[in-house]
Amino acid sequence: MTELADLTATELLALYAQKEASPTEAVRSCLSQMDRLEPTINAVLTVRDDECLAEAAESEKRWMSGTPRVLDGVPYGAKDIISTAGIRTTGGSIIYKDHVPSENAAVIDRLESEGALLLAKLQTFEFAMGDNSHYGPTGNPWNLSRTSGGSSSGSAAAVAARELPLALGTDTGGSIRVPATFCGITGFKPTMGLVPRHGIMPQSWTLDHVGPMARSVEDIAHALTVIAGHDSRDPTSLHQGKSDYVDGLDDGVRGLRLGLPRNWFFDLIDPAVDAAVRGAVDALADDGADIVEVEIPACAYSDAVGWTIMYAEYAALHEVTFDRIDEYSTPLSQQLLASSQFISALDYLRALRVLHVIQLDFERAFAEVDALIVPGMAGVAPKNDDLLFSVGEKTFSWGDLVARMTMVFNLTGIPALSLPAGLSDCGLPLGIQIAAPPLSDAVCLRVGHAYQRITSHHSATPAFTEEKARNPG
Amino acid sequence: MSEPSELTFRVIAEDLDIELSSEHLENALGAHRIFRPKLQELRQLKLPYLDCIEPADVRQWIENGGRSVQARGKPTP
Repeated sequence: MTELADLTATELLALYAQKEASPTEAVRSCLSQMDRLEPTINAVLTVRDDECLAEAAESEKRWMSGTPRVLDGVPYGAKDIISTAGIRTTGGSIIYKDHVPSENAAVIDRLESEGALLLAKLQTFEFAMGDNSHYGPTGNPWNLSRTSGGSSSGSAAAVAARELPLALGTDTGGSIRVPATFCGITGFKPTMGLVPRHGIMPQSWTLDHVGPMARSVEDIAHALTVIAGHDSRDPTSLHQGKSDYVDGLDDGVRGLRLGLPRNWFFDLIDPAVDAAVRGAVDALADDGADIVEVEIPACAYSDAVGWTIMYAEYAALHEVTFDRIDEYSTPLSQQLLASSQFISALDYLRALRVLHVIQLDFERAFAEVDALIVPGMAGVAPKNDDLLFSVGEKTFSWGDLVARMTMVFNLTGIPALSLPAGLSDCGLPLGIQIAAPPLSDAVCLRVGHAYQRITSHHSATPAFTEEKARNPG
Repeated sequence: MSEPSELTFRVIAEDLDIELSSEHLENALGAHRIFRPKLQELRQLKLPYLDCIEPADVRQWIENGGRSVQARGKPTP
């Protein structure tokens, strides 16, 4: 029999509705998967076992009385920069190792009010920046010697390893989509301001986003329906009414125009990733989409603009702990904080203005197409011990390539969905992204769902996770 | 164009009233040198004074679903 931990949130909800499984059983199944895998993967920082089981019992009562909520009884985890009342929220740092917030982040309140069960706080790169956390690296369930990516490292690894069906991550330059791609799961960075960031440790107020990570687009749509919507406590929150992102998922891609950029995204890319993207394009074209080539020249500025803004705002946000630089966890974390002090005001302001130049280029592209299809990452997950990307015969540093495919969507505020698109020759996940104009989040999900109906890449289970299921010892 | 030296960074740090060990200062300078070519490219992009682009345009464009409120000329890189 399939373990409940193997199921998606949507599948769990269907079983609860049919009274064939209960939230308590699902939580217990996730807990045993954590027991088996956590000593090796290290995706989880804090487990709420007893509290979550008590909440699962309450959820079960609602199902039995016919009053379930949208995500009732679905276990989930949250990246450990997302505040949880009464539960420590470390930011992946020793500096906040005993920090216990007094209130929940807006997204936690919204999930709780719709019955989702917070089971674990999850690993993050320290302050969502750099390479690892004070609490050690998170292993990639597809190959433990490879990085899980980040900064939402624990969210991606826990979902990939079937420890949880759903997690929250945050994304400043790709921190949902990078680990989602490396770990072979589905991750979504919504339109800037669609999901409120109140209660989340900031890295860059211009670029920070929060979003869901799961094993299917359908689950992403359920979660987004719950967490999206205006919150006056977040000054960047858009005045959007509530939407049901599950509606329209099945509309397919027939008649949609999908843009394939000629420049930037394919200028520096591993042949295996390139082939995966072309394969996805062919599959969507066969399903009825029209493929149109587009040009987005201003993407060339994305690295310089993104890092300038991120460094400057990071420096401003961390001035209260700057004198504790030696307590930042890794040499890279310390280097980032030191470097961030030397961004000039003029460079920062230029970068803030160039964001709109990049947006205008995307506006021209979106005049021709409904959505874009681009690579998830330039290459497969690097080894944990050197973090070097291999692209064909060449190698590149972590900083050179980690945000190349993703950052531009943070800069523009454009929604971007990352989807698994197969495995490399060495068995590592490859990914694609679907991007659409701001507020067209539903279009990303519609294309992604169509892709997952005609392919099965999103259902693949990491070899390590399968092996552990067969041989728990 | 010449690159900043360790002395330049030391002077900036002193002016900002921040203390950085020699090791952190070297690391910061090393990271800056790697990043500098991209920064220089960005500095070559001269944005117009008339029909000014300002940071608030970014937010407005998002709220407007990715459409410009008024047509703007594209700056020449």
